[in-house]
Amino acid sequence: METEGRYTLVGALVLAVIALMSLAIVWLAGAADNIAYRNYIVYFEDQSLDGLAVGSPVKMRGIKVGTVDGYEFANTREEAVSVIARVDADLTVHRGAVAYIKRNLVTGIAAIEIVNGPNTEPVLTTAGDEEYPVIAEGRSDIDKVAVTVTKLADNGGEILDKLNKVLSEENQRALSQSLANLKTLSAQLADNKEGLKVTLAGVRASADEFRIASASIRQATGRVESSLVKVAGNADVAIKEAVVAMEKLQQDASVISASIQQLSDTGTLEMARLSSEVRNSTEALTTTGQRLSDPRAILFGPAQPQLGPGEKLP
Amino acid sequence: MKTACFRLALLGLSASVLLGGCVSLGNSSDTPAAVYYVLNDVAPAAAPLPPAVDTAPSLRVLDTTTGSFYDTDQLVFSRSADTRGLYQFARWTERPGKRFAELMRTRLERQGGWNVASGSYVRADWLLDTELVEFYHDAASDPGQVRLVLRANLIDIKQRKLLGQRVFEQQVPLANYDAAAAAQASSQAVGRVLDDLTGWLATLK
Repeated sequence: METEGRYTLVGALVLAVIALMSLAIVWLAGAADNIAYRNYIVYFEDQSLDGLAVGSPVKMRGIKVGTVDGYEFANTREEAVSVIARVDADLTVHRGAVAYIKRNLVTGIAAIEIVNGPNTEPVLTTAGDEEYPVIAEGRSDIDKVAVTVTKLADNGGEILDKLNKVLSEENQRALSQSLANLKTLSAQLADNKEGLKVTLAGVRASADEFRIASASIRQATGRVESSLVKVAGNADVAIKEAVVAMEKLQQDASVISASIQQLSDTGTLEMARLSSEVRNSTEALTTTGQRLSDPRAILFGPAQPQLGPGEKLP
Repeated sequence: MKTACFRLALLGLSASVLLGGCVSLGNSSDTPAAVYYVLNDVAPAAAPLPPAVDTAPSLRVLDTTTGSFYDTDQLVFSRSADTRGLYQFARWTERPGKRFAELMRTRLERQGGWNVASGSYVRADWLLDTELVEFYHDAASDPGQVRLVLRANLIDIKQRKLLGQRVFEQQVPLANYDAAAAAQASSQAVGRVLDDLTGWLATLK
């Protein structure tokens, strides 16, 4: 019974040793590293890698998240160095992340600083023929300062060139001439100081007169306005009287017109009657003339041949 | 000298006038007196019609004109076709043209359907102008006949348009060969011509 108990203990120990040996083999083969880290490639084209070595830290926001696993000149890009950064696998690098060289100004030791992409972006993955995901090259603060200083220097140079152009000999002569003219003008003004005083006094007097004239005009306008109001009132009354007079005139004209019309009609009738009477008088004269046209018939009576049918002389 | 001659001439003229009153020129005082005849419209008596309404056309009737020979108060006769003579003792009370116009107005007013105007001061729509062309006693035969020829023109005054023109002629035989019969036949001729005239105007209205 005691012998069977030892066998179980020995078997358990043997299995534990086998498990430990298996773990050791895996660790030695580097599989553990693959599980704990993740490699990224950074192509540096503009920045110097002075002070950077294998094992140099890889940081994010100043915290070490990995190390430099190796570097070499890239064949696909001109004067570019590809650096393999081994980063903690727990760190999620998003698309849009950049990396730059951060160098200690005193010791000159360099490290790689990764600025992660926005969390809204997807996780950075391997693309194309690359072996690992590629982090884009960024720009360090010193580089930014250097670029700014360079631009300032360039702008300063341009400013100096423009100043040189402004201060050319021709402009200097023109400026000297202007200054001379100003000097002459100031001298003349100084000489005419009394005249200017007189002129200013005249201007002041004119302004006073203008002010007085304005007041007078304002008063005159008021008087004219009151006069116009009176005139308008009188005109209104006159127009009303004129309207009344015109209406009366129109009525009188109508009466006169009617009278004239009646007179005309009466005159026409009288003329017609007179014409009829004249015609009757004319007929009477004609008849008398016809009687007198034969004096013999008046004195001795008509001749026998003149008698009409059935007429006989006694 | 001149005064003596003037007095002598005046005395001679006065004596001539006085002596002239004593001279007899014949028996003219026995000449028959003239008889005046009235020209009438001898038409059948008709009942008077009501006066014309305002919508009836107004007609201005001018005085009837005549030739100068017929424009006399003496009755005219003709013993041959180309001669005319005047009755010596027979006269119309009015000249035939003027009298005929009066009879024409009276007939139109009596007939109705017209607003007849005679004066020029009254506006009218139509104008009736008539001319008495012939009006005499044709005495070529015994007792003869009265011949009346009337020319009439109807004119639209507003449009100055001649609406119609016509000549009316009537011949009425006489009962006797004298002036009285001629006057009576003349009145009958006037009545017949007015009959024809009013009938013609009715067709144009």
